[in-house]
Amino acid sequence: MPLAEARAVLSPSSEEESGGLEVIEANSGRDRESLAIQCRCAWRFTPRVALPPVPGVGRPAGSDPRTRPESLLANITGCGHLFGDDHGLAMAMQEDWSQRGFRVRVAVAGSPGTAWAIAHAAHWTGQPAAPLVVTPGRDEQWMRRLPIEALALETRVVRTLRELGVLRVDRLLELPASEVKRRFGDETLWRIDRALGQIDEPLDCLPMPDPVVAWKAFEHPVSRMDWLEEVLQGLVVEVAEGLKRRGRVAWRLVCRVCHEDSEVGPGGPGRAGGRMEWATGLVEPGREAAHLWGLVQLRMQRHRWPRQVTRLEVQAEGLVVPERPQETLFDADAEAACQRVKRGLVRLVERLANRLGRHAVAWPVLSDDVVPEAVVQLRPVAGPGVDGTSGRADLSGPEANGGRVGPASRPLRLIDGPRAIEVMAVAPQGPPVRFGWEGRTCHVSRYWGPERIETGWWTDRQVARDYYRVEIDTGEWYWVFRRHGEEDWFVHGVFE
Amino acid sequence: MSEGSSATPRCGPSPRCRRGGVPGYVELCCRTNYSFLEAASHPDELVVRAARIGHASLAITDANSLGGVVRAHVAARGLCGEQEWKIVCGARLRFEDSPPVVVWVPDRESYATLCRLLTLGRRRAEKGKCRLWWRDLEEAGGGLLAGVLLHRLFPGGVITDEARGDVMSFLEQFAGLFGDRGYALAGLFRGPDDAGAWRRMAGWAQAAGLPLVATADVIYHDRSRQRLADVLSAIREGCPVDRLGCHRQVNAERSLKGFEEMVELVGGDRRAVVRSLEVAERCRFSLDELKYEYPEELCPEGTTLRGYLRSLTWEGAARRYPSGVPSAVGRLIAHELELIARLEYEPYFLTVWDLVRFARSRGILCQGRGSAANSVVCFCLGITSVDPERIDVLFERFVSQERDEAPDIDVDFEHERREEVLQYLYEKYGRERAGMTGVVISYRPRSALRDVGKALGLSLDRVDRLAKSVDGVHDDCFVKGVREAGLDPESRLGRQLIELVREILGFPRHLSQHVGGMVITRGRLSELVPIENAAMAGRTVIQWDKDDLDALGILKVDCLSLGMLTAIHRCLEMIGARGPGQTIDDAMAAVPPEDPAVYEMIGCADTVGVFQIESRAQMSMLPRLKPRCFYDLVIEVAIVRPGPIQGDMVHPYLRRRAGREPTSYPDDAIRGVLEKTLGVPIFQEQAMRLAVVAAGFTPGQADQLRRAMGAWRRPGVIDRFHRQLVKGMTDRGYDNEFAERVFRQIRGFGEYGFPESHAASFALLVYVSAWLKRYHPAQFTAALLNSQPMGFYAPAQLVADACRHGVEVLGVDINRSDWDCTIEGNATSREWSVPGGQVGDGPALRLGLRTVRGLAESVAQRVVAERKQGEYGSVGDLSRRVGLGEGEMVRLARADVFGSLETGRREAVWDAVADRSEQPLWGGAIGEHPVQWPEMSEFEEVVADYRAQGLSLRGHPFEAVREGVDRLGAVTADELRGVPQGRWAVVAGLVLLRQRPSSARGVTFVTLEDETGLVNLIIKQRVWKAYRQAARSATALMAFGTVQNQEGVIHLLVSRVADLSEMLRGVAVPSRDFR
Repeated sequence: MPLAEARAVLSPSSEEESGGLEVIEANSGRDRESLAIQCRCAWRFTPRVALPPVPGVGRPAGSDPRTRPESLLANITGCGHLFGDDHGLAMAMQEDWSQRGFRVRVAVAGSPGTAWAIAHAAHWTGQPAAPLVVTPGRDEQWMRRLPIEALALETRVVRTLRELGVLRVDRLLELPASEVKRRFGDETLWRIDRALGQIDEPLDCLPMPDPVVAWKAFEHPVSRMDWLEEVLQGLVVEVAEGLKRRGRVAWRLVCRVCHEDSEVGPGGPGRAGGRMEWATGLVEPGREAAHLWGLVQLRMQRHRWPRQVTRLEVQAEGLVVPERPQETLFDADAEAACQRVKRGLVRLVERLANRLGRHAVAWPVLSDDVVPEAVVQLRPVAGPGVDGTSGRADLSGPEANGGRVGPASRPLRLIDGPRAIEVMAVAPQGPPVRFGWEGRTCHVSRYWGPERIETGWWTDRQVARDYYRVEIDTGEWYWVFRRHGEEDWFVHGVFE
Repeated sequence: MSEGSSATPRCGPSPRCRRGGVPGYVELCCRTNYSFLEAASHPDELVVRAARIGHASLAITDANSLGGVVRAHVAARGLCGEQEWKIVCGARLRFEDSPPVVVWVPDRESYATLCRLLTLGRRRAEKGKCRLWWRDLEEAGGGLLAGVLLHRLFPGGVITDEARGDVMSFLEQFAGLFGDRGYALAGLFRGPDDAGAWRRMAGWAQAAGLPLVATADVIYHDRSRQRLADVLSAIREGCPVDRLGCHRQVNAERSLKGFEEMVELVGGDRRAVVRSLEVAERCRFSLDELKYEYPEELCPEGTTLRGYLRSLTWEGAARRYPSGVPSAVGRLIAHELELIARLEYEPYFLTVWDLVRFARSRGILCQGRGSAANSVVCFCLGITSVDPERIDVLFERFVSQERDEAPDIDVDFEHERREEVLQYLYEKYGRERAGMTGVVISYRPRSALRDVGKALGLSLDRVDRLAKSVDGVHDDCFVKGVREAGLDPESRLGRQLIELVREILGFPRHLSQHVGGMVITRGRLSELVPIENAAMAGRTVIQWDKDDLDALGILKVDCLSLGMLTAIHRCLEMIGARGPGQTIDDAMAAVPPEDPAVYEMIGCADTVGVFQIESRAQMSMLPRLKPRCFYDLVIEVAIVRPGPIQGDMVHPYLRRRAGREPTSYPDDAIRGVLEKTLGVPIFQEQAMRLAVVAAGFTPGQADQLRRAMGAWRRPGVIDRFHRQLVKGMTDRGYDNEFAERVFRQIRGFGEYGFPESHAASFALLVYVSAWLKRYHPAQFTAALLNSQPMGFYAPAQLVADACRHGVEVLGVDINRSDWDCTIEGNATSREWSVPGGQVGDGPALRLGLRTVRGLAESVAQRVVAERKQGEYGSVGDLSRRVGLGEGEMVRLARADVFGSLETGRREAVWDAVADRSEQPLWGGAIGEHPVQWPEMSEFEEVVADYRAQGLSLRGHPFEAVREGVDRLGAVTADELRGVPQGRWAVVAGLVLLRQRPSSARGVTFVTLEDETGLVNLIIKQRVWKAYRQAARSATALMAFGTVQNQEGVIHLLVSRVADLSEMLRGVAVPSRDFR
């Protein structure tokens, strides 16, 4: 169904803004990424979990449904007994994901091909999605009853076969293999074999990472802050060293605190014990122990600590290979000094952001707006370590966007909010001749302008002003304006 | 600035001549909205405003274009003043390698230079773009005046020393090229330091020896358009207004300014302001000089154009009236020839005559349409075919002295052969003298909403929804639509959206290609108007549209294409109507007129495939109108149009015709106009004549009135005519209410009404096609199928209709079918009087390979050619002999074309996909392992037919589900005819079409098809909304409602619908095999 049609169907009248439909662009790369996260959850059940193969890698074939980023393949050989049996494992898996809000179908079979086919069969047949375990040795029997889509053939082949009335696997298997090959090629035969488990199919399992983590559990709950801090500092140092050993730097440190405090909610005492977690984000990835500890300390101070701490854990996340600063041939000192300044700035931003919150640190940016008040805008400094988005913080400094005015025509500092002035006399069509400012009368001796600024009609702060640069008899320069249509005058800046 | 600049001696009138007179100012740098998305005012708005603030003329300098200059010229012509108001024609040239320059045209010769230059740049670039280099300007030579835009040389407001050097060298280069024809234009826009900027620019001008001229570099006529200018920039840059950055208007100083304001702006430098007059005065060129020069090669040597046209006309008259020209017709001919002679339009008539003669000589059917049928001369020349004795002709509708515009002759040609006619024109006059007319695509309500909405930062989603719900923007519906889309119309955003959309409406957006307008010139076309590339490769189009050409009196011929002419031609050939030595026109003319059997068929709305009257709206009118003669057909064609429907003329006419309402006239004058249509104005001419006889308009004024109605963008003009009309009528003693009603009716005709002559031309085709359908349904259907795509119905309905008329239709067969559909059996029976008979006794229709979806004609032709060596014996045989690829083989197999080989569809598909290249190595022959395929059910076959061909001869998909829908109480389309008015009924069928005409107040018309015929549903808005999902998207529907049976026209007024798509799909893709 085309998107526009879906929208039209979902919003018969237009009371609600979105018509109940949220549109997300398909992105198989992202799907793959999030599948990789699901992979990690599957490690609870077996260490051998594989993502679907990437299309076009390995066999140069047409469309292969098996490459769609929608399924995980796990080898559970020897893991079933941990959950009772294979069926118990399948149930546990389904339970695990549905608790996290996913709807999954689990099938266990003798080969990846059959398992994939049976897990998908519910989709084609409209069966409820209960986990299904194929009795060993009966794979082919199961497969025979499935529609030919289960063989993960190319779309073109499936379409032609359906046209011929070949709808089920058993019907297809009745056709002479040589004739099938002549029409649909070796690839099709290979896929049929793959689906029936007649080809040994190795799984390309995801390697389990080795996280940089340090923890300490206490025999008895600890409540003394000074102890805890000392332990925590030790853990941070340990993690920093771990990073060094691995040759990595981290974007974030995550601290986890397990405790036995009882939370008292409105309905009486809640369950005792729990876990707190907070992340310390960086603007530039790092691993220097002292700096990291300083940040963790600042971050800690924003929280009330539990009294009965049983376990502390520090983990480094977002590990990356450190960037080697480029060697400079010339002007090494100046370059180094520059680096030092920048480094210090990064540190400062990191400390402020961890102490005050990530939105509290802002950076002035020159915008291309022509309304003087809006020329400089504050943008929050949002490093990937701070707000979790990917990409680097832009700390290269504000860049002038080729403004239309020269530097001399604007005062360096604007008065925050133009201040009304009393004008005693006005030149015809011109600037004030005399005006009152800070309790004295200023006589204008020279002026430039008017510079007319009228814009912002699409916002609530529409302006229509004539600006003058004026020099008064005592030599000071002011930036004043008159509002259109009214005879109100304002001072908006003083030239220094 | 000192006296420096006057040191250069100047030719032409110097500013001193004017010194005694009033000092003034003329804007020399002004873009209109024909610089697409750059400027925010219409040309006429600029002209009117410039005249009001005291400019003596105005230069129009669109960006690389002459698009807006004609409109400005027309507007200047329309100004009322003692003195002629002049447009200085010019352009702003942008270069790839240097700053922009404005040029002005002093004379015809340099106008040609400019056109050539723009053509060069435009032809080099893709559609809508222009690529020029400074060298091009140098090489173009010619006497163009030019101004360099000093303020564009430092757009940032600051200039570095380095840049200063570049500026000076450019200025010297410019001064060197233009000498005393070069000027320095300087604009100030209330920037931070205008005085400083002016000093700087004046300094440069002096250093380069260029006279300094002040300009406002105008992009809108009035300050209030600043917002629209921002919106246009946003549309151009593809971002919302708040992210426009440096493309934004800092203030509203780009409007037209008067003399005093300019002087004040430039700090009192009056000379720089007044000097603009000097430039304007040097430009003596006026677009009127382009007055069309007709091609010369139109009459044989030794004759004059006048004499030649006269003799051709009388010869033609003698041919048209073998028994002598009736005296009334003779008088009309004399009158028309006299008017033509007075206006010197002979070459025009001869050009079209030549075109028609060419088409005839090639056996291409053609027929003039539109107002040309008002001319007896056109009839005698064979351009039109409607005998002026059969209708009233009003020559002034076609050619009028008041209008002084070239007459407009549109000629329809067979749609597949129009290209030949165009090629003839190109060949005869050459590519440099003939070209396609442009069409300026303007903002309509929806596109305006889309673009403005996006510019104001609304989400795409909301903009889309809003755009869909809106048909017009001047009524309350628009405001309501805005509110429904979740936007408060009273809020700032809502208000701005509404205002800006209304303002941008009618703004030109881009140039496109006219469907068939050709311009022919005596000299080079590219010296008359710039030519640019169209979207289609190899096509070019001129920068002016039809109205511009009209306004300048330039000849243009509309060569339109009409599918029905192709179909009629084919059908006449198939029935062998063209005797030896006869032309196809003779055959068409020989169709027996006024056959009662044909009218009987039409009266039953049995008109699937018949020209014009096959649409749903027409069909529902036919049984009520029951046409009995040719003139009834003329009315039928004209009455089912949005104009008459909106003017509420249909029902009164029907009532009066049925005798249920008395026909009365206020007086005899009006009786004279309206008598033949029972007092209801149905044709455009009647509306105009009413204005003449009842309100005292001259015929020319009446025509202007009609045009004003069409120009919906200009409420002011309509008001003027409204007053004139109502006053004229009340002065003549008609009451006010009657006057208002007449005005409403005329307004209805503005855009949508047909002139009687046009309706009559079409009615001829209606009659001929109906006659063919009545007597030769097989051939008629074959001809329609062979001329697809055309008409209102898909092949499936045409074939089904043929079957209902007893035609035997045979399926596509690899050993029988040609590319086209053919006739088998006694195809060329000339027994015209034999009515279409029952199954078996008429010729059979064999479907052609063209009905196989996706099959290329070249492939099909190869199949047909190879068949001459002997019929194909098997699927493999076909594949080997013709060398078809797998895709083509499968396409054929799916369409089940191997019937004569007794090879079923599945078998054929299986054989078609086999890889034959490996065969020798493989050793086995096809069929070595024979496979038994499951039998396809009848329904599966039908569905497969529909997939492969879009039609099925086996039956209708609904036959399979009939039992199911019967149980739900549904009746067939056939049975519905027996259900009395007002009774409850249920029907089910495939959805053929959904329509929501703007004249139907939100009612949706849906046509269903079942195995017995068609059912028309009327779905009111309330029901539509309640069942929106099913009603919108279902491929098959079941509808519940009450029957409306009015004089044999059956509709179902629906109160509930149900989606049957699943039911059909369920059988198409059986799921029974699954566990």
